[in-house]
Amino acid sequence: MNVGELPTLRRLRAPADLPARAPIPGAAVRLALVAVAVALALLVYGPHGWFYVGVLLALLAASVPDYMFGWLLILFLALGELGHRAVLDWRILVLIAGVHLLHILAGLSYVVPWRSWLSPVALLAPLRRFVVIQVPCQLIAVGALELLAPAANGHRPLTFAAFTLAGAAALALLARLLLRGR
Amino acid sequence: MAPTLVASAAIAVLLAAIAVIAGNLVIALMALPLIVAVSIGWDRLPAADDQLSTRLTLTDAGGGHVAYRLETTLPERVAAVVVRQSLLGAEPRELVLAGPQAGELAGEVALLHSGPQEVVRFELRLLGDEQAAISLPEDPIVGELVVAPASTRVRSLPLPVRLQGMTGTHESARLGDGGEFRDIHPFSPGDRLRRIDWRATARLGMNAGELYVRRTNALADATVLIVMDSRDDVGEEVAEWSRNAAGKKGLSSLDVAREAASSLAGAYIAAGDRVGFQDLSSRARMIAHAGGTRHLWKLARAIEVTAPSQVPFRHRRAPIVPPGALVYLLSSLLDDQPVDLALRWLSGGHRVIAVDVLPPPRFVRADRRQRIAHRMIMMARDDRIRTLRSHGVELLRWATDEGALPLAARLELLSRPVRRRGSRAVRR
Repeated sequence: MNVGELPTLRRLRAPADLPARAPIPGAAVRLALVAVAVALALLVYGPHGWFYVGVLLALLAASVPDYMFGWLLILFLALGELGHRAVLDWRILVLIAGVHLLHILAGLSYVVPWRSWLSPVALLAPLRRFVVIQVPCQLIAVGALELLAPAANGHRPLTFAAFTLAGAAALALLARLLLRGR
Repeated sequence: MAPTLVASAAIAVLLAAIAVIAGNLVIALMALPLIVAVSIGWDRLPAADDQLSTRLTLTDAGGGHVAYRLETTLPERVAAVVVRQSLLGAEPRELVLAGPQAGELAGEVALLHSGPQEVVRFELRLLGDEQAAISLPEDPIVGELVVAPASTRVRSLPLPVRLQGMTGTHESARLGDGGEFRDIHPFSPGDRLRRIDWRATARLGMNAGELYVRRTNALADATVLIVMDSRDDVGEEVAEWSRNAAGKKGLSSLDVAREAASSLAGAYIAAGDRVGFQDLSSRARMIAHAGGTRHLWKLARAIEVTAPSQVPFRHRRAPIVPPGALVYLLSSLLDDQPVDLALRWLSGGHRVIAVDVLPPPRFVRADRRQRIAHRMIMMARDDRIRTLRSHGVELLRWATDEGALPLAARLELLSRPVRRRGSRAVRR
């Protein structure tokens, strides 16, 4: 293989293009994470007090994803719901979808270097799975809130029994998955 | 293996526990998609014994380009791949591709330098579903290539002070066969009968039996030693002298040195001379002088694999040069050691031509400090060149500067016959 026209001091050429189409900057994932997290913190806490803790956690989650601040943020948002009464409204449904989205974006921020470039095809699978999981979850949420949410007088006949059953089932499922020898 | 899954699972369990303890329906509903997602991610983790297999091929794409193709067979259930790619040693770029997209990665690179070089380097990291990083970065997949230098046609060949042997293509000063007409001389014992010039004998002979012969010069060949100083490899971009990034430094001194060495070796071997090669930084790259096509292949290989050593060479004695050889010292002359060696060879009676291989400088992106540093380095280099010239070492600049004579003309000047006066070479 011959290098060609060296004696004429040829000008340098730009390196060849990337071997695949990847037009989305990796930093966009982290920006999306911050945007979703700030919106959810605003939804849960309102524009004051704990909201700024949410913003701080969002920034930490985006800047140092290795420390898993994204999932701490999910816990922080969930704890904000302790003071609220469960009623069927858009806010709860958005929160359920938002927390799931936050989980996906935190995971992506962890594995995608911020200076990298993403192929849109690589984002299709997480997006498809998000929809596939969210559709039944939202339906379950609507049904559960309709049936199990405490009444305005605080009376909740089925809530404790349903909670105990659902929580135990979820824990059993997780335990089975985690303990299954691979 | 999958820290994101572990974190998600931990948070999902925690949320479920809080929901049960506090009797909060919303927190339970928030935990639900996480539990499902983690379950799917965990269930779809690839088996630990599945291996990634890759095959990287490099092919000549013509026009100074090389095409690379990385074929990858991914383990089952790999959702995405983080590809870290570096071309020609430049800063790596990272891509996140879906699994099927990473099956075949191909592209082209413009070759910028001769010699051994890393054309492309890939590092792959596999991702499972739910963004589970399921592998540490794999061992790098590296495509390396040795690129032959360009070759310049050399028409005029400078010769050593003394030619050797009785065969070759160069005219010798000695009596012998094969060369040009020398003189008409009275026949003496030992002269061959076929050399008798009957016309001259008829014209000049005074007595019967007085014969005259035509005498010719002998032919001879030259012995040439090409010595390459491969310690440094500096490019034409002065701002890149410290970083020395292959993609940014432009034409480098070793590119010029390899081109000069292979051009000279090819021209001398084609002329029937004997050529040796020595890399000052490596004892392994020393080839004794010889002639012939097979020897030229050996020389070409030794020249093209020459790489910068980065360390100063230490020679207690100057490398041994065959008697009467012409020495070409290919150096950027940025330090004193090649100068010392050249003077030692010169004092041993050899003709020494120092080939200056430093490319013309360019100052794109060079700041003021770099320009001043360059000027100081050039002043020291000019002193070395003056020292060499004052002792009788001839200088040949291989790269053509603006306004300078073309290389062919400079070689033509050096090829003129040399008359020795003391230790100095005087050109007629």
